[in-house]
Amino acid sequence: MQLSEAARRLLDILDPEGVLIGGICGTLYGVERFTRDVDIAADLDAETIVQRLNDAGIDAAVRRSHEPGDLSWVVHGLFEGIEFQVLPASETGVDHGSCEIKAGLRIADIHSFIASKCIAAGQQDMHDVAALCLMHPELEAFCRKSAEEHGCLEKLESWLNDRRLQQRYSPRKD
Amino acid sequence: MTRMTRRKRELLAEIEKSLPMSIYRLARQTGRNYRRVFDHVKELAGAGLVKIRPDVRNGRRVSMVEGIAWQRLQRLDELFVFKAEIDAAQ
Repeated sequence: MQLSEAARRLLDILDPEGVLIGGICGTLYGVERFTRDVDIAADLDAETIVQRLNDAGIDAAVRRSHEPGDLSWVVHGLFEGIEFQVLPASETGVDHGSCEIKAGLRIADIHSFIASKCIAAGQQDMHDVAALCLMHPELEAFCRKSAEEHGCLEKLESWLNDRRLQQRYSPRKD
Repeated sequence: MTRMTRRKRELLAEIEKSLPMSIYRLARQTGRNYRRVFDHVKELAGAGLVKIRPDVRNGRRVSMVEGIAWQRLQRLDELFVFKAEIDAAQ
């Protein structure tokens, strides 16, 4: 099964509360990087998500955490050989009312997507945010503010100063 | 492209959020004149904002229009298959 098809089917199961975040969402906004899993933020509780997935014949389990800084739960599973995670929308900066449709998929709007990346704050996440900043300079102030709020401004600046990233994503001025 | 008018912008937004579809269907979906939609889509394709590809549906030749988001998703799917093949070979 194609990755996009898996995302489409999982979104159908979690309709209308689920929205795509993560690598596929980044791809749809123009970030060029590879991903092999499907990340969804859902405005549902973990039990309801597992129930809906089970009803659709998909095994899923909940991983809970009480560590500070961790998400309180993540539903994870394997769908036709493709890994997926469903995360709590309220903890990932995604408001399910703020979504848009691209290529038939319901995805987090660009501001929610940036917020989710700044909350995750890994190097790959900051790469994605920097790429979006470079493609859409009008978003830079929002990206910096969001990164500052979540303590990852330094990482973002490091990526914004990366010459390869600048060459790849800065709009051409011709 | 001569100018990005409101009508072309609306058409582009409709294409971006949709799965690939025929120009005929796009015209029906937006309630606009087929010929006008066809001309606008050709202009958008000329500017690299959408892609038109020929296809055959029910034995008839049709022009399918794809948005950039769809093309990005296709590239990701191709890469996914390629990586899966590499993993399987190792």
